[in-house]
Amino acid sequence: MKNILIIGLASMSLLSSCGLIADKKDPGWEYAPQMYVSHPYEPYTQVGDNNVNADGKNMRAPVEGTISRSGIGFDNTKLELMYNYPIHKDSLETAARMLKNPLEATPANLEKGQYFYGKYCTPCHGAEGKGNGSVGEIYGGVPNYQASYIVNQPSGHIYHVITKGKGRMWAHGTQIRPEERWQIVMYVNKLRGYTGE
Amino acid sequence: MNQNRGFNLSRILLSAATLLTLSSPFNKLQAQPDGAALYNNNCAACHRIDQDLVGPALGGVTERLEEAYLISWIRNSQAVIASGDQYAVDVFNKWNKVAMPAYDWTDEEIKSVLAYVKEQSAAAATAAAVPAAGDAAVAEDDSFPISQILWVVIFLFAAVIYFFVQQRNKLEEKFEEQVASGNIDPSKLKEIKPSFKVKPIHAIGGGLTVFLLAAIGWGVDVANHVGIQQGYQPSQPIAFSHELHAGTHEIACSYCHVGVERGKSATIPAVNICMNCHNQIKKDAPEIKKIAAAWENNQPIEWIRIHNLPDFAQFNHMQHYKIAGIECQTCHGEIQEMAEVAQHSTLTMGWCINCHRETKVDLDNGYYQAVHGNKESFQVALKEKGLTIANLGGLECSKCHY
Repeated sequence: MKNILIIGLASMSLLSSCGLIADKKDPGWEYAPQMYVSHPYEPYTQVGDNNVNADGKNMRAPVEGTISRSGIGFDNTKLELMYNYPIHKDSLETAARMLKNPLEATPANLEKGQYFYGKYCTPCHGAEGKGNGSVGEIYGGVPNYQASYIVNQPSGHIYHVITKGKGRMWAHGTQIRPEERWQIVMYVNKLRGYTGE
Repeated sequence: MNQNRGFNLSRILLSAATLLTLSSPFNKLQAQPDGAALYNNNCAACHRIDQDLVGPALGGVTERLEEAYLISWIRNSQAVIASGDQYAVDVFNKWNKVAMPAYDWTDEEIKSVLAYVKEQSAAAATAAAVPAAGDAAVAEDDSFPISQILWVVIFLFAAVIYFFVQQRNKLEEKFEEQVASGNIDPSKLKEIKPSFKVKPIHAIGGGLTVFLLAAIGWGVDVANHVGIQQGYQPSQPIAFSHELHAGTHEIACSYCHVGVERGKSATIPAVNICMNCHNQIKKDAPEIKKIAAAWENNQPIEWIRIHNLPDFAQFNHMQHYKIAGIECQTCHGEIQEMAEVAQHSTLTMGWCINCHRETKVDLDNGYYQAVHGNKESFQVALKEKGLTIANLGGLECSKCHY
């Protein structure tokens, strides 16, 4: 009898510990799912089909021709204008000529620029803007900011390239907000030793 | 007098020699431009020696083309193309009409770059001849330890079994000896010789008990895990590896999860963020082709959600990541080491509450200085006592359930 008990207990612990019960591909059971799953549609959760939207998905793209107001002060017309960016991808020279950095060149802005540069640019452009980031080495075609055709480009050029992309670099406008882009421009100017507008 | 003169002469000679040696490298630097630096700062972005990139591979270009032609090309490639030179037009068309920037360099500077390219071409050619042998050696090294360990384990296992069989046989022999020598009465053999006879009732009862206990264990385990998905590791539609992206390449989490410092959700990256790199990198790999297909068809990738808070609990990434400065890894585990992401934390209410009880508020973040700046005694008291999230109402029901 004792033997059987031991065998039973052993198989019990074996079953629960060896992952025979807890399959890691299985999310397991849920108590009262009607309380767990949101009734209003959530963009990043989809349980079953959505009967309202034609494609059956909760997730929606922003309405065409609209801009996000979240995070912009209503009185800051300059920043609002930056969201309405009518310059075409190929009009790099126009952008370079027309755009001026609306942010003040404060140490706080520069510091934020360095922070966002670190997040969004270093993988390819490298910490010092030499084009030697670990992803850039594989991606190829990443220029050094010291290259003669970059070092003296105005700030608007850099801003447009971040927003719309250039050559092999794709647009990063969906990832980085306009004010953050201008902060990055400040830091890029510092990296390439550019002091102009 | 003579002696003195000789001394003077040698001193003059010596100083002249020092001057020469000191000045000559300085002159050299001025006269000879640094081809390697020029190449790396200006050319390397679009050209490789042994590989086509934005522009053609440059290996052996100094042998393919004449120096004067290369100089005019580098100085103003567009002018060469405009002159109607057939070779130049062909190259321009082959490389998607991407204009190479004009370089306002001196002949010496361009020559130094060409010399550097020549030197690198030779180095690349010798390097290309060697690696085959090296690769084979590496492959052998890789397979070596695994098979070795396996054989050791098998051998040890066999040795242990052999040992037990030996021991058992010896005991049996001893027993037989005792019987043969008459020390044991053969009629009592049945009682002495150990034996265990299994009756059907034993088997059924035992089997049932084992089954029951296992079932109870399973039931308790399942009940314990209702609503808890710790360790959940589903196979995603694309075998994306955080280990490679966040670990090896150290891409910041928020490069893709852009919402983490802006709102409630850290956000799942849209396909265009993948394509920022994968329009070039590994674009022929089967998994990457899935991204390209999603991009071309304008269809989102249906990632399987792992971290799932119930609808009645509110959580905000920005509040935790940006304001409180909590690392992603605190809740998500060592994500930069996960080839396939699994849920690290329990995400239970007890887990949340525990952190709110233990985590000290950062009192040096500017806010507390601004609000209580002039009350130094208050500041000191706060710091001595330590302020936790719980002290700020972090345990209130309505903090998370609203």
